[in-house]
Amino acid sequence: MSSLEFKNVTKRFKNVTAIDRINFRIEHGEFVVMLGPTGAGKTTTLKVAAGIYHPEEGEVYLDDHPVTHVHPALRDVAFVFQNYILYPNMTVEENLAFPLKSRLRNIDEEKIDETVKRVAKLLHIEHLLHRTTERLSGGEQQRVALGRALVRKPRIFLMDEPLSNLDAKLREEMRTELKRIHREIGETFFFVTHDYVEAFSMADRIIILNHGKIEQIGTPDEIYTNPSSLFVANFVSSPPLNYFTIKKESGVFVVDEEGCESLTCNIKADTLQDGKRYIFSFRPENLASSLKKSDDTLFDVPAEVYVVEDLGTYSVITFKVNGLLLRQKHLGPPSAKIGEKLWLKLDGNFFIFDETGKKRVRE
Amino acid sequence: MAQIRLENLWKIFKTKTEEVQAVRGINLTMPSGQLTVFLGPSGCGKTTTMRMIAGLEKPTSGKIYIDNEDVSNLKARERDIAFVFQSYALYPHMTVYQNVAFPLKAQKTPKDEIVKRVKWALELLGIWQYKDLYPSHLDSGTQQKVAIARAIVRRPKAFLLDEPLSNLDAKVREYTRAELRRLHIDLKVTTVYVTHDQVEAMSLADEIVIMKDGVIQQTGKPREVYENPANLFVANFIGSPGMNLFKARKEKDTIILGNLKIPVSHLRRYKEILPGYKESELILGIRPEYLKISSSNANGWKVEIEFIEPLGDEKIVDFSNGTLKGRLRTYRSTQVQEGEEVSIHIDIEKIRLFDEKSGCELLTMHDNEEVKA
Repeated sequence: MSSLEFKNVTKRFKNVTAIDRINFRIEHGEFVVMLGPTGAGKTTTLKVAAGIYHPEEGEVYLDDHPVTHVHPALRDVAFVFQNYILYPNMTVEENLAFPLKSRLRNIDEEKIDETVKRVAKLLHIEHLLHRTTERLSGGEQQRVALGRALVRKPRIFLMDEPLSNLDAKLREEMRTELKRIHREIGETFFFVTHDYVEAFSMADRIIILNHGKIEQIGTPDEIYTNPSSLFVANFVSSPPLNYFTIKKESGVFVVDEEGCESLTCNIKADTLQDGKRYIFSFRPENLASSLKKSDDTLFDVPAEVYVVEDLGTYSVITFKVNGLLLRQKHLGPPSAKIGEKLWLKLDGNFFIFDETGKKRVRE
Repeated sequence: MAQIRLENLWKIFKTKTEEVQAVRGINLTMPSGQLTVFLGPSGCGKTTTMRMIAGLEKPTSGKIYIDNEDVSNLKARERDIAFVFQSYALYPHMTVYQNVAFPLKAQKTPKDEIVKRVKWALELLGIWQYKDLYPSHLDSGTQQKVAIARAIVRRPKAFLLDEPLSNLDAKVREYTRAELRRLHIDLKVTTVYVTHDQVEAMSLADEIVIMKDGVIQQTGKPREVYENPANLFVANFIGSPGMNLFKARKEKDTIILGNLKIPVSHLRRYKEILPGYKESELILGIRPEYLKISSSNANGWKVEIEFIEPLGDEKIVDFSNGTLKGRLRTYRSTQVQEGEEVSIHIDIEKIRLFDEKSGCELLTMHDNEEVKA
C-alpha cells in the first residue's frame, strides 16, 4: 500500500504533448479513477506511473520518494491491461502462481499455494483453479488477470480500462466486484476509463483529464454538483448535457447558435454582463415540459418532440426548438410522443460558463 | 421495405472434436418497416442469426424468407440487404462523398441520380458539411455515420447492423443512438440490429428479441420486456442493475419474504393463478426503482445497507437481509449510510413471481400451458 504523486509531469511524443504539467496525489489505500475521452492522455499517465515512459519534465513519487528514473521492475507496481494476457496452456492455478515462481523472489511452494488460494477466494474463482484459461468466460479471464496482479502484493495497482472488453452486463457486475475487492484488501488503486458510470460507481475521487490537462479533481459528488468547466459537466452527464451559447442584449438573453434563429431564453441571471456571450447549460433531468405556456417557460416558442427513447427505468425525450436539440430525462415510460409540441421549462440547477466553456461563471 | 421471416432456423458449427449448436430452431417474423434488436450476451447466437439473414452464413436447416420469397439459398449480394459492422471499413483514400457514392457507382447508377442520392443520405445523417474530407479527419462517431450513409444510399430492402456503436466512446454512443432512432423513424426500413447492450436495445428497438444459448427467450416491445420479463434470465439481463430476484415462499394465502408477509389477494397479477400453483418455493422479482427506503414504515422490510454507488443524479444502494441480497435505486439527495438499518417499502403492483425450477414467470408459464392444453 503506497501513495502516488505527480508533480508538474509532462510527457511528449515528438511534437505531441500527451500530458501537460499534471499534478495530483493519490493517498494510501485510495481508489482513484482517471476519467477522460480517448486520446486524453490517460494511458500515458499510467505508463509514466509504471515507469514504462519517462517524462520530459516533472517528478513522480511513490511513498514520497522520487521514482521518475527508477526502472519499472524495481518500482513494484502492478499493471492490469484491457487486453489481459494469460498463459493459454496453463490452468488458472498455474497462471496465478506464475508471478510468484520467479527465482528472484525465492518463495517456498507452501507459501505460493496459500497465496493462490487466498486470492482465488477473494476473486470468487476457487472453483476454476484447475481449468485451463481458454475455457473461461471473459469475466473469469479478467478476474484471473487481476489475480495475477494481486498475488504479488505490489505497492500500487494501475488499471488501464480493464473492464472495457467485457459484455455490458458483466462489466456492471465487475464494477461492484472491484469495489468490494478494494474494500477487502485496502490497497491503492489507480484506474483509468472513459466511462463515467464506471468512474462514479467505484471511485473515492475522480481526476478528469482532457487534452493532456487536468480539468478537475474531486469526489463523484463534488464533480457532479460543482463542475468546473463545460467539458466536465458534459462528460459526467448521461444523456449528454444540454448547452448553448447565449448573448445578453439590453437585459434579454438571446440564443446565439448557428442555425438557430431569433430565440429568446427566459433565464434569471442578473449578474451577467450586457453584450457578452456565455454558455448556458443544464442536465437532462432538470428539464421539464408541459402542454401549457407559463411565466417560467424557457423559450417563447414551443418545442417539438424529435426522438423518444424508453430505457426502462427512465425515458429520454429529445426536443427540437428552432434547430436546437435538447434532452429531457424522466423516470418511467415516455411522457411525450414524436411530433408533439410542448413548452419547456427548467426544474432545478443550471450552470453558466464563459464563452469558451473553460470557466464557470457564478450566476 | 420488406418483411423478414425465419422458420425453424438452425446453425450447427462442426469441428473435428466438437459440435456447437449456435442457433437452435428460431421462428420469428419481423414485419416490414420494423426495427428489431437481437440482444444477448456473447455466444448467444445473435450474430450468427444475423449473418444467416445476410447470407454470410448458410443455415444448417430451416428457411429464411424476405417478402415471402425463400432466400435461404441466395448469395449475400442477391438479397438486396445492406450491412453496417462494428468496424466502419471506409476507404481511406476516398472522401466522404466518394465513399458514399461508391456502392451506387458499382451498380452503374446514372450520374445525376448519384449526386441526388448521396446528398440525400449525407443530409439525412447531418454530415453533408464533411463531404470533401477524408475518413482520417473525422471522429469515430462521424466515421460510423458515413458507413451508415453508405448503407442507406442504395435504398436496400433491409439493413443489418452488427454492434455499430460499440467502438465509439460512451458519450458519442449516446448521441449517435438517438440519431439512429430518429433515422429509422424517418426511413422506416426493415432493420435488424445486434447488440449486447440492453440500454441500446431499449432505446432503439420497436421490438427486442432476447437470446441465450441459441434460443429466443422473449420477444416484445421494450416496455413489455422491461416490466414483464418472461423468465429469470430476461429479468436480470434487462435493466441496469437488473431485477432483484429473491427466494420467497408461498404458505397458503401468503407470500413470505424475510420478515414480510404479502397476502396473495394483494397481488392482482397473480391472485387468480396462485391458488393453483403447487410449489411452495418461488422467486420474487422486483426492479430496484420499485423499492423505497422509508424511515418511518414499521411494517416495511428490514434490511441493512451494505454499499452505496453514486451515479450522478441517483444512487444504487446495495442491501442485505440475512442471506437475501438486493439493490435499490434512489435519488442523490436520499440520506442513507453504509451499515445503517432501514425499512424498505415494496411497490406490490410491480412484484413479479417466477417458478424456481424452470425460471419462468408464473403468469407467462400459466398462459403458455393454457395454449398447449
